[in-house]
Formats: sequence, structure tokens, C-alpha cells
Amino acid sequence: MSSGHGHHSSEVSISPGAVVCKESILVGEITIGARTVVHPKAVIKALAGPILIGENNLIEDQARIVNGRDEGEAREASEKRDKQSVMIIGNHNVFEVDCHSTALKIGDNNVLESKCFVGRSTELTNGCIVGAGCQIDTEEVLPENTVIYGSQNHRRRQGDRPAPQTLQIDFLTKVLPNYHHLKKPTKKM
Amino acid sequence: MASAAASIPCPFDEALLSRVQYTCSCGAPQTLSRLYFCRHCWAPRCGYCVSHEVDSHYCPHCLENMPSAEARLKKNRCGNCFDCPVCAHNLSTRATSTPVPRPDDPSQLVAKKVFYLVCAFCHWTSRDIGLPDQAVASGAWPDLEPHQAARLAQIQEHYRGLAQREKLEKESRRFLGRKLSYMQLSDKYGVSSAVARKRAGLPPAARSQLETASGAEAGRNAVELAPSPAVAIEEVEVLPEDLFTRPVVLSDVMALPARLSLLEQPPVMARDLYLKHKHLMIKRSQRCRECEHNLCKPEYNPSSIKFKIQLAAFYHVPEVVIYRVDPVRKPGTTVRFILKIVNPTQHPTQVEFLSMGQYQAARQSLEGAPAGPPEISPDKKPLGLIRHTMLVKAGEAQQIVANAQCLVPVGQVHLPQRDDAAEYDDTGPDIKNVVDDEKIVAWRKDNRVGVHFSARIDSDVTPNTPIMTSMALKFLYTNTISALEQKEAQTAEIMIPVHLNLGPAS
Repeated sequence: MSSGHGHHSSEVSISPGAVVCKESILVGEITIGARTVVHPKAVIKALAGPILIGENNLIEDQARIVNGRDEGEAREASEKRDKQSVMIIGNHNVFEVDCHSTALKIGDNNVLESKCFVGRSTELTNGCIVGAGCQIDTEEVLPENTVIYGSQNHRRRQGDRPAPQTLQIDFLTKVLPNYHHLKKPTKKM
Repeated sequence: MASAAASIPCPFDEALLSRVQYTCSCGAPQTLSRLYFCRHCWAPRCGYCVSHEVDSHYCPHCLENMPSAEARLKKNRCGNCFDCPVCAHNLSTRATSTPVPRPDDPSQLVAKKVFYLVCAFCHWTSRDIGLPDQAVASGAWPDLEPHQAARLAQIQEHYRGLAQREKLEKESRRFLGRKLSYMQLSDKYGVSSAVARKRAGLPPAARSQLETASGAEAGRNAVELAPSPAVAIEEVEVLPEDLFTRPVVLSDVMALPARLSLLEQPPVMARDLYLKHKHLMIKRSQRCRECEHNLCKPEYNPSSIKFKIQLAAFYHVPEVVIYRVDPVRKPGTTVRFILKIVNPTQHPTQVEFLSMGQYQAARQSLEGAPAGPPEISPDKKPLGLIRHTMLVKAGEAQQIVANAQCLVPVGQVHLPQRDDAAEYDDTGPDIKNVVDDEKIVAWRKDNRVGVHFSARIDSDVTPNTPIMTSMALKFLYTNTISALEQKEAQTAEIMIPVHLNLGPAS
């Protein structure tokens, strides 16, 4: 599968200091910021427009970040609107295993827990947590520090933002190159 | 994955469990896995036919055991573990370090380990309500003083006294019928028994029955200490001016379950939340209501999931499983099906099947001359101290109405004992002398046998209604406890009606 989109790789720009494993699946115009870690088998697809990912993000295995027409998205509706929509992801976000995000705008310090889904018209501001298995697909801007949890998608506001995963990112930056081939940074220092 | 899940049903699925239901001795239908079998009465017992007793209290989180008196004192909650006040998940302790000034040199900062509580599910933390972090991992969290605690305690004390007096009165009334003594009279009319003794010239050392209810004095005194009556508040607090204009932040308003879970001070807003001590759980033991023997007694240790006594029906009663049913089940026709009968015991048994008519007749003839379990010897007779020991018969509503008449096979079927090593033993169980009637036995393997059955479906059954048929299982039960005393195994034939759901009519 990864060999099928070789010509796309030229559009992927990786900042120095980012750790992007070769087995990750990157499609389209993607910019990855410094100290961001992309695990093997993470999927980032920029189909309807470019994806800009900030610094210190952690994108775990099987996480899917998709901009545009893919995987059962309402094709017709998105085709008109998404012609040149840019997906922007801020800093210090965590995309846990098998989460699925199609949100166009994600701020800083958000956590998308395992197997959660965030729809295209939902905007995450800062410090939001979408709990494991939770689904949100409403057209709204989540207020800061919102926590969505449980099978009923309950909501509450948290006092603090979730702590940034600095230690984990540092560790992965050291360990991942020992066991995986990495995609080379395309930008110069 | 999905197709596999559909073809293999969950064994705990209620729809699957209720396909085969046994009848408890009270008459209520129940699945085999939820029945006990009293080997003293030789009868199946359901959850309603046993008395449930609390064995021990323990915390489900830290597994700490505590005696019931202590549990009552702590209001059945664990002192160290907490539930999340928002989502009722466990709160876990998280350690972090915070800089504090050095005691000898306040200008310098040193890192100090502090602890706070976090809910891993909804991410609520003890910091959310401004609770300061603790220096020790557990046990130091301050408790919330319940609203109007003093008055509640006063009222509680008052009613405790009333209850004590009522109990005493009831006790003395019990003796009234027999013989009215001066002692009891004096107690009834408020002269304390100690004073009465003195007047009667009796030595105070001799304890009368009435005095054994300890705290009789204390109880009477408490009643006199009546709480002050509730007073209506004259001036009601003025509501804030912006009550109707301030926008409601729904994420800060607590939902009803969260409010009801903290009854000491129901939190209206998120800032009113407080740590909630974890509820204790109990280990229960079950006792037969008829003979008061223990049917189920778990091990005392909370971390153990084993039982000291477990007289579950699936250890004693042959298991009936619907093995195969004709796919076409038209009203007015006969449906054939095969039942798998499994012997769970260490003793070979004979199984026989009775129609419900035969079963009723057999029951009536038995009632004339009860050949039930051996009489309990008088010295072993239960004291009946604890509770009423009677079995309540199941009501009409609980009965299963059959809409197909079961045509049971005639004759006995031999079932070898269960052998855990049978899988590795090529020779199989000893069934040399057993000649199976091929019209009855479809197949046999180890301690299992498939038996041919058929049922005539009523002609007025509408399509898609479940076809229910009933028969009675009669099996030879080998009693193992009497074997210990009498050196030879005691056997008896036990009949249990079984209801089968053969699936929807076509």
C-alpha cells in the first residue's frame, strides 16, 4: 500500500527533529512540525487539501488523520466545500491508537483517545479530551478544556489542560530510530 | 468478526439461558446455572428459596476486609478509596513533585512529592475543586461534614431509642401470653428492671431474660432526649439578581446521578463536588430455608473467588441442552428434537423422562407417603433463631404455559459418571452392559447422551411465537454426604420439571 503513493512523498515536508516512521502512510501535501512523532502504521491523508501539523504532537499507530473525501465521508457535500480546505493541527496534541480525526481545526494540548472519532465540522480548541470510543460529529467549536467521556458522550469542563507528553515524546525520539526506518526531514535546519 | 459473533452466542445471553429452564422446588422456572441444590433436602432451590446472609464486608478496590460493626460505623464505605463524584469510576492516586522552600533555607526551592486523585475515565481531579495536594498517598484526605450533621445525629439517636423501646415492649408482650410476672409488668410500665429487682428483694446478680437485651437503660434515657422540633426559616436567602440573565453553562451543572450519589451535600455545580468514599461490597452466603444448611459459602478472603461450600445445581443435576430442533415447526404438527443430557456428578445415573401428566401423578402418590430425605434428628434440628424458615410458593404469573405437548421417550437412559480425564482416555467409560434403545438414544459420548424427543405443537399457535414444551427429568441422585456417615451411598430418584423453548413457530 505504501509503495502505491510514492509520488506523493515529495509533497510531504518534515521539519528537522520530527520522527516520522517509514511505515507510516502519508498521502498528499503534509507538513509535519519539529519534535512531532508519527508511529508506524499511522495514517495521514491529505485528500481534499493540505494538512499542517505543528510541533510536539504524538500520532500513535493506526491513528487516522484524514482531510477530505475518504472512508465514508459524505462525498458530495464535502466536494463542493472542501476544494481547498486546509487542515491545521496545533502543538502538543496526542492522537492515540486507532483514533480517527477528520476535524479541520485542532488547537493545542488536545487528546484524542483510542478509537474515538472527530467529525469534519467539529473544531477542537485547546486542552480538549475526546474519550476512548467517543464520537463527535457536530458542527461546533468545543470550548477549551472540554472532556467528552463515556458511551453517552457526556461532557464536562476540566480545570487544567492535560499535561503535555514531553517525556514520552523524548523517549520515543530516542527509541524509535533504533527499531524503525525514518522518513528524512525535508526542510533544512 | 461480526459473523462469527452472530453464530456463536454469548453463553451468558439471557435469551440463550432461558431456552432451558428447570423448576425450582417453589415452582418458579429458573436456569440451571442460577439454581442451588440442597443435598440435605434433595431439592433444587432458587434465589428466593434461600436466605442470603452477609459474610463479610470488603472494599472492592483495595480489598480490605472489615467486620460488620466497623463497616456500619464507617457507613459501609472504605476509608481510603474514593469514587469519582462525576462518573463513579475509581479515583486513582497520582504522584507529582512540587517545589517547596527548603526548611533551613527558605530562599531555595526543593522538589517535594505530593499526591492528588485523578479519574482515568472522565479526567476529574481533586485539584478541580481546589483540594490541596496531600503529602501522603492515602488516608489523609479531609472528609466532608454532612449538612446539618449534628441535628441528624440527634434525630438518629432519638429514633434509635424509640426502636429500642419498641423492641423491649414487643419482647415483653411475647411473654405476656405465657405467664404475667411482676418483673415483666414493671418493665412494661416504665419501672426499670433494676429498680424492680430491688423492690422485689431479688439479688441483682441474677440476670433475667429481660435484662439480656443490653442497653435497656440507655435506650429509655435516649427517648427522653427528644430532638428540638424543626423550625421554619423566617427569612429566605435572596436569590442573586442575575439568576435569569446569567447564561447557563451546562457543563458546570451537575447531572442528577452525580447529585444523588453525594447525599451529604448534593453538588449542584461542578465546584460543589467532593470526594466520594467507595462503597463496600459484601460476600454473601446462601442458606436453605427449609433445613438451614449452607448451600453456598465463599472463602473469607476478599481476593479469593473460591467457595468453601458450593452446592450449585449444575454440580448435581443432569444438564439438559437443546442439541438439535427440526427447522420447520408448523402449528398442529409434531416437531422432533434431540436433547443432550450431561451427567456432572462422579456417580453413574439413570435418567428417565416424564410427561407433565405423569409427573403430577407421581407427585401426588409421593405426597401420600413422603419418601423424601431422612428426617433431621432432633438434636440437629435448626434453632430457627435467625429468620422465618418457610418457602414461598411461586405465583401463577411465574408459571410457564406450554403450547406444545412433549412426547417423552419411554424407558431409562444410563449416563456414565463425569470423568475429567475422559478426553485422554481412549477406552471410554464402562458401558458394556448398557444396551441402548436406538429409538431413544441418538448418540452417546463419555458422560453425555443425545436423546430423541418430539412435541406436538398446538394448532392455535401463531407464527413466530416461541414454542414452549415441558417435561420432567427423573434421575438417580447419589448422595455423597450420607455416604460419609453410613459407609454406603444413599440414592434417591429426583424429579424436576424442565421447560424447553424450541424456538419460534413457523
